[in-house]
Amino acid sequence: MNLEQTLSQELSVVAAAIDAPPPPAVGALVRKAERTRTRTSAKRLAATGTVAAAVVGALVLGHQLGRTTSAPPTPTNPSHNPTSLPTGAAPRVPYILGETLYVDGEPQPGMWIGVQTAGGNTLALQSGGPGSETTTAVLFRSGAMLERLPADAEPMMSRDGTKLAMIEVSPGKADLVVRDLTDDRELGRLPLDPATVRSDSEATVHLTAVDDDGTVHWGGVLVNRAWKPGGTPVDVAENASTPPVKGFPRGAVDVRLSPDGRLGAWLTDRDGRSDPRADPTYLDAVTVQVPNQPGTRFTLALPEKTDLRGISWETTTDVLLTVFEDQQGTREHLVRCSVKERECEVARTP
Amino acid sequence: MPLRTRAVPDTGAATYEEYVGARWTALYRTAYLLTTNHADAEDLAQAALVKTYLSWSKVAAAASPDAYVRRILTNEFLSSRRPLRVTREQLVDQPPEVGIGTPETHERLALWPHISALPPKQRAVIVLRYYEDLSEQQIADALGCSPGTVKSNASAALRSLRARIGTTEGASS
Repeated sequence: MNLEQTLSQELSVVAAAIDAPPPPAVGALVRKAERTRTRTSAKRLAATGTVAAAVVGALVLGHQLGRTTSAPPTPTNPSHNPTSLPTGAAPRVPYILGETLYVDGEPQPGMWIGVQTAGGNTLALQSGGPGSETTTAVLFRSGAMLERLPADAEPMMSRDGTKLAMIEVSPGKADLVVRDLTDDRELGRLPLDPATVRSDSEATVHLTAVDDDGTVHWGGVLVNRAWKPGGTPVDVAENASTPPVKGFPRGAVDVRLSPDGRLGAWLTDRDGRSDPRADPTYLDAVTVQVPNQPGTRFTLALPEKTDLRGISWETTTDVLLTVFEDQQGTREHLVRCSVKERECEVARTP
Repeated sequence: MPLRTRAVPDTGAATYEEYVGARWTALYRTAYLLTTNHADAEDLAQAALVKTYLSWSKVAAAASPDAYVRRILTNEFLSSRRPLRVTREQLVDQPPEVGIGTPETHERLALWPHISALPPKQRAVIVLRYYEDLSEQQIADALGCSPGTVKSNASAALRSLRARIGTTEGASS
């Protein structure tokens, strides 16, 4: 047997006999891509905010919002348009609408893909343009641009906004850097193997989190490590693709903790399920829970079949949701949901 | 939202949507040869297309968009191979899912049942070399490794297949 000739023949025979399924809906691919982009941004930018009180059990929002954790979904408004909700004040923190970043209500030039505000600091990610994988992070303080960080530095800010971690790369060198944003001081610097930074190999590592105490987490397929400046790096078991947020259901994706850690919120469907692989699931609700207390879980639904693509804590009581009127991305809105008042409204935007 | 860029030269597709329609079957077939089962093939091909969307401006601007997407596909295949899945495949002493062609076709496939037992990188090299008909340099570009690594993986794969065929033939004689 001529092995190589036989290989060619057999692979061709097998390939020709494959009955490929119909191509996937492009809309579904785009939604998955956008959710991937959102999740990637989300992992880099942990949301902030606090919640005044733990809320127990299921609840139903008044007016246009209505949904419990156990009853089947009952749309109280047939419109998919979030503008059927009352209109409230403009967002009180920097936000992204479309691809524009607004800081103190002023649009910032460029294409922006993620923003986090905490402790008076705002970390925003700017894309190199459509399809570009290059990102630049910009640090704002009190509404003013403070610093443009190196491209692809993968910066992450702690939940309370006091620490910043990033990877600084120079020819033949890569350093993991942790800074204290309260006094703009470098807390520590740890050399990394430059071959593991920004490569396409399975050895590639990425920053995954920085804690309020400055402990930074990074890893990839092969290793996951943690390091606190002044200490020694340690191997950790966590998968780098899993956010280090514990105490929530297995299926919960991108749980955003309030700054005091007393409550987490994540996007779900109206049944409180969060399964990004189950297209065309509508993520038209936000589910909230006290960590490790599943009995406190509740789900707030927006008008049925709207499409939620982003969530962050705006204040101690409010979450801001990025909402499209449908999965085709028709008109984007920012919706503010008060966990305390159990009501939602459209935030006024330009 | 259609992404309008210049025409993709090796497919004629002008948009992401057109590219998906034009190349889905070819991508799926390569994904099937890599994964050796339909469920994983569909997951892999879709995952590659999702990443293609995220890099569409680069794909459309590439000299060979197909080569760019092939690199995405093979990297996705290699990076998503978790130890559990590899272990499971090695532990299950069964030929890969066939579900294709006639029984006569199946009987003619002496090597295909052994391909899934190859380590993922060797399998990728075999598929790119003997199905996609790529050169060592093109395979190296697709896998992000050196031509020498391609050569050593190909040699190891062929050695392994020869040994398996020898064992099978010995057992059946």
